[in-house]
Amino acid sequence: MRIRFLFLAMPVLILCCASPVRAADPGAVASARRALQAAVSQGQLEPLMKARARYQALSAAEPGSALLHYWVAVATWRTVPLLQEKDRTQAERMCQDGLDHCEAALKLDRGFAGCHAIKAALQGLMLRFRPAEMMTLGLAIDESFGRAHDLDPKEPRAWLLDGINALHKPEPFGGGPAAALLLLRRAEEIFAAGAPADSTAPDWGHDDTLLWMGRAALAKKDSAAAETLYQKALEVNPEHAWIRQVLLPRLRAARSGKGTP
Amino acid sequence: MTRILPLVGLLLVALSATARAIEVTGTVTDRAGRPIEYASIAVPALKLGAATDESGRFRLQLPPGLAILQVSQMGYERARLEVRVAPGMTPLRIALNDQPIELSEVTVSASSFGKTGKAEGPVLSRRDVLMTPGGAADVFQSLRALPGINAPADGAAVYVRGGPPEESVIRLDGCDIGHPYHYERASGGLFGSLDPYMVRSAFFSSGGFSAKYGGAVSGVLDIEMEDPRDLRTATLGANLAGFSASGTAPLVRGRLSGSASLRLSVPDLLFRLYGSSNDYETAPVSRDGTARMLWRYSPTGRATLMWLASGDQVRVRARYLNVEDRYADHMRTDFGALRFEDAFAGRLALHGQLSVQGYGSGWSFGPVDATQLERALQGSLDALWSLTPRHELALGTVWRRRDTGIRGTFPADSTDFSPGAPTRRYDTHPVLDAAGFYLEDKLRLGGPFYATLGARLDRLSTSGVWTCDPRAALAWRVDDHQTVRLATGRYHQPAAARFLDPLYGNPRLEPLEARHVIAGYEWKSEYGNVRLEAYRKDYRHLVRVDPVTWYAGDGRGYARGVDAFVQGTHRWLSGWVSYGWLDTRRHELDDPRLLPTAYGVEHTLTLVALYQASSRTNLGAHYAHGSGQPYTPVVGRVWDGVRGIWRPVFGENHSALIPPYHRLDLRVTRLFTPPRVLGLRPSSRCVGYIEGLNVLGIRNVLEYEWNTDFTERSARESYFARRMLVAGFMLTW
Repeated sequence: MRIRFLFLAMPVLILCCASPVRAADPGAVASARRALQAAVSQGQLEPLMKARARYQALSAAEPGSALLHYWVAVATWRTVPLLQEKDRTQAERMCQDGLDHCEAALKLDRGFAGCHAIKAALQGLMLRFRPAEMMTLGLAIDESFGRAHDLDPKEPRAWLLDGINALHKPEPFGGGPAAALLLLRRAEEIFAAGAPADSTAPDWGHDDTLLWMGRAALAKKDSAAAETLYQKALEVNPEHAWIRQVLLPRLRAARSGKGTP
Repeated sequence: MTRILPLVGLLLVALSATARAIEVTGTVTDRAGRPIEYASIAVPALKLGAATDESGRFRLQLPPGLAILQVSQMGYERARLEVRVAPGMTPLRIALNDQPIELSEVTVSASSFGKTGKAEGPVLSRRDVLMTPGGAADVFQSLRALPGINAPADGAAVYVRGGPPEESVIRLDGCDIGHPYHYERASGGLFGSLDPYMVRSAFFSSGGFSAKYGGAVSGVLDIEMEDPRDLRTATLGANLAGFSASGTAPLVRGRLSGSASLRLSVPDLLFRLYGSSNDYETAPVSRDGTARMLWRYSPTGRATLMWLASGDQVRVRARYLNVEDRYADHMRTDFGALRFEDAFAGRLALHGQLSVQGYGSGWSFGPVDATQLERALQGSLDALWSLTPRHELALGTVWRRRDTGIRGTFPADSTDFSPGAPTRRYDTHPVLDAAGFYLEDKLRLGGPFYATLGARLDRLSTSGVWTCDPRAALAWRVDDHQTVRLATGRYHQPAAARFLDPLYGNPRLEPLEARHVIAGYEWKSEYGNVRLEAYRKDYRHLVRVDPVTWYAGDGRGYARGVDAFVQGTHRWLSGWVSYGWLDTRRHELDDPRLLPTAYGVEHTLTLVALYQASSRTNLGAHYAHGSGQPYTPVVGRVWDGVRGIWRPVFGENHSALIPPYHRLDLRVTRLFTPPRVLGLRPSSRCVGYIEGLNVLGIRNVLEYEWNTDFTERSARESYFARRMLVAGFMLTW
């Protein structure tokens, strides 16, 4: 009886003696994730830097966690475009750091589909700093996306990032708004089907999907569809400042003939 | 109930233990006391982490006792500190050191012109090779657009600052390679035998280069092959002059990958369309193939095995002095290299190379009927030890064996090639063994001063002498945009094999020597790059004709000049201008005076402009100008009654100039979406191009020829003397 009691008590003791802010603690990761999502919604550099630093600290404390490396990479992908406008050199360094985190995550878990996708997205950002590497980076991006889709065809963020990449890619290279919409629609279908059960699992991107579908629709000169999609994105994330304060007002102004979308 | 009570008690004990955690606070600053925002503070042993706020402050809950904190932020050196956590402890103050600018970001080596802004990055990327108009998508032809290359006419060979091609070493994945050209006897080579799709980048230095490069007194071209990166790709290309196919594939994902390429060049169609400045009996044909395997045997280690085979043949009617005859030439080269690279403890990188090359060529013209067979074997080991981010030590050793056999019949009199001319049998087989060692220290001297100090020791088996080459380069990083460089050094290379024959040569010839002094200024930003460089190169031990020993190493010479390079990008327009002024003279072979050399082009100017007209269309223009190349004119003739032929009377050596060289090439490149058939990926791309070569139709002169009685001079035109329109495509999927 005593032995059974000890077996029962030991895990409780171990659990309770642990720090309340352990990196592996789903609460810490979820809290960092909320901070990142809030920063993305605000669309400002400082909160993004802060959120990235938070993940960076969690990852440094637990370098064996592929998930934390992945989150640093996601935060990097969010931060670099804004940082680039302020400090291009630092942005390039951060982008490389994000790629290093992807490699670290993939070394720990080669089957991490979402990580292959975010790696491809960061490689796409790297092209802004190293355009001379287009020939090799372009192929590497395709390869990473291909692997992400092969590993998990139901990973919506892989389709989202692939769609964004396609929107920025010239049509002769298989890009353009039509190609982007196909990929983004696939992401949207998966997002609409349901949310992840695990609170620490990546759950971002639904609002981004609708936002970028709107951007792709706009690129196809379909402003009505773009407005609908922006509104849908706001339904998913009512706090999204870029849509609420910039994209939607500009689109409405353009539709009423007072500006360009 | 009685059973649950102890459990609850334990839980309370545990919770109280947690409550005993102590709050550790602190500030992270730089050395000047300024707060560092968004730095991360990690306690890996406890899997705890926190980040600083905008004021550099942080807080952590830690249990009492010893804790190891790791503090990091980009741009600063990572700090690791031990903290004894106890109640009432004072806030921590952690100062991070600035991360010094990494040595690799500061160019210390002189004369390596980069176009990317990061001057020590690749001088030419593969994209440059493929997109530069007139470069014919050839690594060597594209190099002509950079300063320091004073190539006469259309040839691809690297004539560096007054030095002929044999004064430069060409390396492929760290191994020396000889004869990497097609049609080598035409201006030293017309095209390279490397498929640009297999090349990642090419580093080129026209002087003041590192101690790790031996066996060259003028320049270095260091080519890195592309890493297949686990990608499955295929590229097919064709144009009016030939076909190419290349591909990469992972064989064992993440471990073993391979790449291969095949090229065939048959310009028959081109000649039919536009004619040719030469009278070919059959159109020249060249082919080459490359295969490369990459094995990643550990997270840090990899080994590569490469094989390159190339060959060409040409048959053309030619005229030289007093004879017109068929000139026939064929060449075949095979090159294999095994290389391994590994890193140890994140600080020591090791590279080992082993290469073997076989080269055979044969040529005949008039009384000449000769073959040349070469076998080269090389092994080398290089180590790079990164002591700190501001201090690197490089050392290595190399051993080479070159076995050159030249045999055949040559005219006994260099002015008589006519039928029945007296000939001489030549059969030489010098074997050259060379061993070398180098040590180089690359360091930050302090403040904005960076230096590379090195030396190499080499021993040649033929002369039996040791040579010692100290080399030094200093870079002063004035600010983020400007760098001033000074470089000096001594360089040696063995004399050419044809001078080392035991019977008709001097196997004890000393190695050639050159001393470089270079001063340069660079300004760079993300919008452009400006480099100015002044240099002087003094030669010693050049080969001279000697009445007793056939050849002696008592010649001398110099090359001095200025190179300027301005590159810029503005929105959709980019391009560069390069200009070189060169004054070179040599006292060598049979002339007792210091004279201009046959390959010393005084002024060279290149303008390249690339305009992205739309997301699909690129326009490019390339203008090249070279002032005339010196040559030795025929100023008279004498009748040889014994042989019954006219013989030429030559003027002063290199006393006349071929007219200036001009050429303008234009190119339109358009991207197409290939049809979605045959399972092509959506990202497949097709690049179509139309290139106008020598669009102004300028009949540039390659050399002068005379009729058999030396009464008429005619100009032999350069290979691209006709206006040509070449169309082609490359499909990658």
